[in-house]
Amino acid sequence: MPDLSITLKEEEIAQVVALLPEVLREELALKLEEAIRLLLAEVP
Amino acid sequence: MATQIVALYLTPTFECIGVRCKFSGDANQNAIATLEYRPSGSTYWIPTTEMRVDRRAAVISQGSTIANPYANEWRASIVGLRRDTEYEVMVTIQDPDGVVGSPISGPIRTWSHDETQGLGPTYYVAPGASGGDGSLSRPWSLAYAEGRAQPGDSYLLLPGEYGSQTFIRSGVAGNPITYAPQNLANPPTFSGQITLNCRHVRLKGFRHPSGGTLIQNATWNILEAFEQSRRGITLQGEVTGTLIQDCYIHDITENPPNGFERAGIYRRQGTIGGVVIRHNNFAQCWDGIGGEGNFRLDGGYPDSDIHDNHIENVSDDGIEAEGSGLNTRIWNNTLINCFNADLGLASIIIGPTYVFRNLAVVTDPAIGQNGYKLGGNQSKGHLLIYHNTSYYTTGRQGFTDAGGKSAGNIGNISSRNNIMQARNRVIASWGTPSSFDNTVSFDYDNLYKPTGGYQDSYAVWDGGYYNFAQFRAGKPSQEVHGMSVDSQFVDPASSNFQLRETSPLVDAGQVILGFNDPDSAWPYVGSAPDIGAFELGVYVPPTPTPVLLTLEVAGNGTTDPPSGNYEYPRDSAVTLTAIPTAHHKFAGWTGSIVSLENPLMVTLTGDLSIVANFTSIIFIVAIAAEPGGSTDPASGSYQHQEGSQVTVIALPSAGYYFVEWQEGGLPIGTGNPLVFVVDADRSITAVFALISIPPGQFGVSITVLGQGTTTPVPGTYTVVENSPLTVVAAPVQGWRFAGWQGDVSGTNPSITVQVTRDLSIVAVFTEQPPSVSVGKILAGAALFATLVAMLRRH
Repeated sequence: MPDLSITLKEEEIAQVVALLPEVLREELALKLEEAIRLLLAEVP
Repeated sequence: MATQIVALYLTPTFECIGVRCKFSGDANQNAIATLEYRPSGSTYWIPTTEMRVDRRAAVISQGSTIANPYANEWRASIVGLRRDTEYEVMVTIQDPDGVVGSPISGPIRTWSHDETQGLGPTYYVAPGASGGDGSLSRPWSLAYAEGRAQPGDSYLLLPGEYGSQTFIRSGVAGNPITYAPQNLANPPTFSGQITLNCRHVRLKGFRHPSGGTLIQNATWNILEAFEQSRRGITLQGEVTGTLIQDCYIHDITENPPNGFERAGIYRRQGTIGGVVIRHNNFAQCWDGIGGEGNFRLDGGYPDSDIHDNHIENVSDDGIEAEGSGLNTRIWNNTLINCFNADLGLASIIIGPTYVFRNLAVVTDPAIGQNGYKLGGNQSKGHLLIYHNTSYYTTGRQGFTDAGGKSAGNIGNISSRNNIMQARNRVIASWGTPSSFDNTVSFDYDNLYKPTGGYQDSYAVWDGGYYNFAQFRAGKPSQEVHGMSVDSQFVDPASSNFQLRETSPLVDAGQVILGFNDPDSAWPYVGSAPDIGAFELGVYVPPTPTPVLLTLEVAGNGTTDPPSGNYEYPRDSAVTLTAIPTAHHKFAGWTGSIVSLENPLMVTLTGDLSIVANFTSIIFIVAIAAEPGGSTDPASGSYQHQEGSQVTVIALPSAGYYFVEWQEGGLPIGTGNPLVFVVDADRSITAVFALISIPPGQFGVSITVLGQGTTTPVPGTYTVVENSPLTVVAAPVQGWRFAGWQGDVSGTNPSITVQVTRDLSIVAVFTEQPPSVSVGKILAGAALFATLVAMLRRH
């Protein structure tokens, strides 16, 4: 099992993201935007 | 050629069992027999004394050849047993030509009447009394008392002179008649003859200075603590079970009653039955213990024990056990300055006779003669001489053929582990050729003759005179493992014949089953038995290796003792208790022992690994719905652990409402859902009813799932056709409204419906997730935004 407690720096996250296919990157971005909207809706 | 076992005869005393196994066949004489025994109930057979075979058709008695009544027998004595104990004895015969009836075994109980006390009343007796009532102040005469004696009676004899007395009246087994001194410091005196012609009578503590004692046709009697002088004790007729103990028998100057020698104890020829003579003190007698039947088949002390006696300054033999010698045991006696011989063993006609661990000392320079007088009528019954210590500083010879010096007439003698230290010859066999035939065997002995002394030679045998080296070289089968050295006694001058630690005799003996092996009453210390009567060191039984108990638990529970590894002494008894935790039960022991017992008693005969198993207690919850609705969970049977919480929801169909829960036909509640903790099997039914509706109206049921309520409150209502109905859901703290179910849907807490039919409206509330601070929500959103930026960057 990989060590999930590893903390990635921002540029390291970027390096990981770059490994994904472009289509999937866009899909993830759209879902995350949806999630951001839902989270902000929870803020009173 | 095969052997057929015919019978097994077992004859006990307090500490020994005489064994005779009669057989037929084996004409080619190639069978062998082994003897084992065990306390009844034990599973371990103890190998013991080597059996000796007697195939002689005829023997010689009093110079005549007669048929051997003990022909075709394997015989031995088991020695060193416990009194009043049941044993099993087993003889196994092996014959290459085949055996019928082997092994043969049987039970036998050792004697116990030495400790039996009368159970009846006590009376008092005085010399010359008359007309009394048996009380201390009005005693009876002895003649009167004896004439009325009943089993169990005890008679205490006041001091005085009682003359002579014949005892005729008998006790019974387990309930003897006892006669004893009233005043131990001033015992009753009998100047005349005491005659016992009774059974189960105990005579104790008499002074008997003159008349002698005759035990004639009298069985199971005890004579103890007598001071007997001038005349001794005669055994005659049937005397089985006679015990003579703790007596002081001295200065015997006249023949005992019916006896013809001035012996301390005299056994007449033809006397029947085994006796025990122990812990007596003899001085100044003819024979200490003897008899008349020296060369007779019916003489001697068959099936008898003579042990722990002290015999000193007698004129003839210390112990003369001549005659049949059938299962005669002589041990632990001390023989001091016995004039003619320490042990008169000439001859043993039947045998086997066992002479072991006796001490003989002669220091009176006037005493020569013989230590062990062997003999002498060609019958050659087996004689086994083990672990005796003899110490002579005078002209006394050791083992001699004084009982018969003709060629080849002495045989079947084994001498092992003995010390014979003499200043004269240690072995003297005067016949030519030797009076000792080739079945006489000396080995593992220390036969020591210091330089000088009364004769130059160590042994005379076969007409030759030998020193030790010449003897061994000239008699190559004799003393192969023996020695001839100073025994190194601790202090002979003080009669201490223990060996010093430096003695070469320590651990130099032979193991002899039944007489010195670890299962015997005289287990040896060290690597081998010591030579002589006294083993050096104290026997410490080996510490048994502890056994390991491994205790484990499977499931929810504990044990007492708790799970873990434990060491216990072998054969310990341990109680294991299984203790289930709440809502669990004990399901049994597994591993080395499979059992449902709790607590469980185990005997640790070996390593054990045991698991205590526990399981949950499971109950069945049966759920059913009557017509008009359903349940969640649906109708059916469910297994639940004891203690678990169960929630059942009643869901009425449209037009129905929930009435109540029932169990066994009886109502148990109206709450919905029904929540309970399982502690038994349950059978729960949800009961529904049709909503009663007037014409032009419809039935509406409002039900809540979860924690919250509605406006109007949950229940059943009738609503006019086509009128609007508004229902508002309100959660309690920590819950939130999750939506409508049933005939309506949506997540808005307020709902309005046009009632055009029967409706079932269900408001569902769910528990709110834990609250998260606004800061954390914004931080999460920011993290996602960062990720979006990264995803979009490429």
